[in-house]
Amino acid sequence: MKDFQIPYPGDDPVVNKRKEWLSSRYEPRKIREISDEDIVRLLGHRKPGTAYSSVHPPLDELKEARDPIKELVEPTPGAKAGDRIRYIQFADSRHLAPLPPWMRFRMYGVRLRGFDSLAYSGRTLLEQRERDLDRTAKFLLETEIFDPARVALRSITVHGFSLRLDEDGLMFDARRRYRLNKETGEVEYTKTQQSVPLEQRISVGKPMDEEDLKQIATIYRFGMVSPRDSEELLKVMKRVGELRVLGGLRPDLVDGR
Amino acid sequence: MAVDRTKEHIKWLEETYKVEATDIIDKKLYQHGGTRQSKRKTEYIEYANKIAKERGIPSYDPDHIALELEIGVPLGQRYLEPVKISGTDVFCEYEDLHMLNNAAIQQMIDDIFRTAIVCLDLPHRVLIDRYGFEVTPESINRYLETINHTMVGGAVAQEHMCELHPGLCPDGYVKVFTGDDDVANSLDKRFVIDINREFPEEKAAKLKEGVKRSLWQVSRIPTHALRSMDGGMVHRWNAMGQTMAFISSYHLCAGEAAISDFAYAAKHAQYIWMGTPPFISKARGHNSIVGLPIGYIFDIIQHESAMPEDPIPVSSEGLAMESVLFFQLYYGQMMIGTVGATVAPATFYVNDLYESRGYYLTDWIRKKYGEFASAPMNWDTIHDCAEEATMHCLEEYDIYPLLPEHHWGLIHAIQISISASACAAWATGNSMAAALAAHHSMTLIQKESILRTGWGGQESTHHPAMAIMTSVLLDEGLPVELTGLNVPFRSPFADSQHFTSHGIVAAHEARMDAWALSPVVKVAFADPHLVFNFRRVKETIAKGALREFEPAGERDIIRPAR
Repeated sequence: MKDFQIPYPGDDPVVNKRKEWLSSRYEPRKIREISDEDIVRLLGHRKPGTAYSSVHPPLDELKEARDPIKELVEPTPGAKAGDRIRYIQFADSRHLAPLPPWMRFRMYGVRLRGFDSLAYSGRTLLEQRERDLDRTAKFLLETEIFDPARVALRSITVHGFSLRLDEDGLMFDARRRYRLNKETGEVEYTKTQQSVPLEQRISVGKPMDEEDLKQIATIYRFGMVSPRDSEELLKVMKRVGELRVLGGLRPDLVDGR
Repeated sequence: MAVDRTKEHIKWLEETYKVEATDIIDKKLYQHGGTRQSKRKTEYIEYANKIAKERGIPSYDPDHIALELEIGVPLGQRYLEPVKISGTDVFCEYEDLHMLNNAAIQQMIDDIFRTAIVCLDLPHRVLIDRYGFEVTPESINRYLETINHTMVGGAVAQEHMCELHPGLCPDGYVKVFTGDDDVANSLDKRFVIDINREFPEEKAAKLKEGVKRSLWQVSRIPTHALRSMDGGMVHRWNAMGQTMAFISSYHLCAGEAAISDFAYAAKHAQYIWMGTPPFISKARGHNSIVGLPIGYIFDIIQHESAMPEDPIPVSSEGLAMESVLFFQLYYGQMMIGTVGATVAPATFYVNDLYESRGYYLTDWIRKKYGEFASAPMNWDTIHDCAEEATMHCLEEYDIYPLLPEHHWGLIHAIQISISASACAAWATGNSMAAALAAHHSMTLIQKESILRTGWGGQESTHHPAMAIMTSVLLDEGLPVELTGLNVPFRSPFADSQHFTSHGIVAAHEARMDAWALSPVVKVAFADPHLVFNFRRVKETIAKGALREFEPAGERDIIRPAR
């Protein structure tokens, strides 16, 4: 993929962190190892080692009408193989999850191909062809994007991002998909993202330190960097808001502004 | 912002949750007692078990579904907080504020949409000019006695009519009002909504000037009839009762050509709909929430104004009504159904939160602009109000983790936009400024500050709104007071209407207006005989929550005694 940086206004620690995520050059820190089999188990779409289900023959075997777009866009491996589309969904706590939904959504746009996503207030859905998704899930779960305490894998009952944390500092999950192993200090999943019980617990590592979460935060927050201090960003937002209104009312009013 | 436990809403949160609002850890999470911590859920489970036994088909059974069948979410793992209805001492559970569990909320909706308002000037002109009759206070009084008989299903023209049991429709009646004190004083007081009595002197004068010398009739179609059919029958019901009353009380010939003038007057000529018909996919008749022009909200509520000192009491009543009408009725029930739009609509009128935030903002407005409704209507004002309200709310959500738990997900986004809307409305007295501030808060300030807004797609109405709401093209927008859910971009989502209508209430109150859209509607709802008390919206909802509100439209009289 060609290098690029999505522009973003401002120059403060929050904006600079956002700019990193909006750059294709930024390499997120890998902070844990989860086996491919465990990733597949957590996703819950198929059993490890089983073949991918397909919804159409491989593209090489398909005779399709000529379409210049197909010549311009290289299909992803999953699309080439004809995989079905599957999903992964994360809930991101408002209490300092590294990438809140809109940042996650934008980061997907910078880094992924062949995907569909939707940002809600607390969760972000991601859909891809299944083998592409396996690869993406590994990236999303093994890097600093995922904090085991403040980020959770959930396809259903996503509620909880805005609640207080439990006594171990974990985000509320009414399906209790994960718990803190107090001996190892690691968070272990006992259920898939669909909340189906797993045959064995899967560790997703230790929760990040509060100070580390603050360091990588991408939100403005009272007591850290206040949104009141984001002068350049606020200025740009005012301009965008005004131009939207004027453009809709009478585009000629936008001239020269 | 420093921690301040004297703030009303923080105080109530701490009192209801029984913990400190600044705590980020819930030590009892998962151990709050499940469904049985809720008196209402416990009652529902026991009642549903009885139903299931009697009819042999399972019913509501959350614990069985979640804990035994292991399907769905086990409820009550978090603390199910009681809430205090703002401005009252009433505590209840959210279940009590689901509109189908609350008879007062239902009656509020029924009372609005069973109302038929029609001007009597045209039929009176027909009587004078076409028939050569005299219309006198005596003849009007005779007509009013007759229509109070026909409006509740009484026959006046012939035998072989099935008449209605009056016990089914004690809330059906007809009154009149006029801006002419001499005419009003000459009529039988039992039938008159007295503007001088129902409003303070200054507002009464403005309203009488708006109503002028016309004589307006307000018909309250029985709740039972509205509920058995829908709002589309209201003007027809009124027309039947009204036309038959004219024919009988003025001794006319049923069927003569001139009678069509009475029917036309009663249904169309100077008839005020409480709502135009909804667009096709939401098809219902007239008088449905979809077609209600949002400017009517300020006209329907009757709470005493505390202006020029304080715009909050009236704004807060308006917010409670808007939350019920747009969020709970339209979005929660008509578009979604069953559990509806979660607890969201109720959060706008509980725990004195709106008032508490409002007083911070009104202080800020006084310091920055001086008087209410005095700030210039320009971009600086809109942005300053949107920013101050949004930042203040965001800071509260950061400082008090109990607050975002109480306002989970979607709600915090709308709560913030409501504050932005109110702030700009109070500062400028301009409803467009309020709407633009709310949209600016949601689409830009909130989104870029904390990188989240509300439900999926929720913010999507705010983006086009910025671009098209200043337009007056019919498919795009209208003067703000005339908009409603029938305007396409406003119809799909929960909050697409909420803070726009709130901006209208807040702006007109800040301007100390006597009415927003129609002086006639304002007077029509000042009627003290209405079942729902529009002077005390929250208090009446609270009575409903306590199951102390007596609604209309009951069928007890025609069912077997239990």
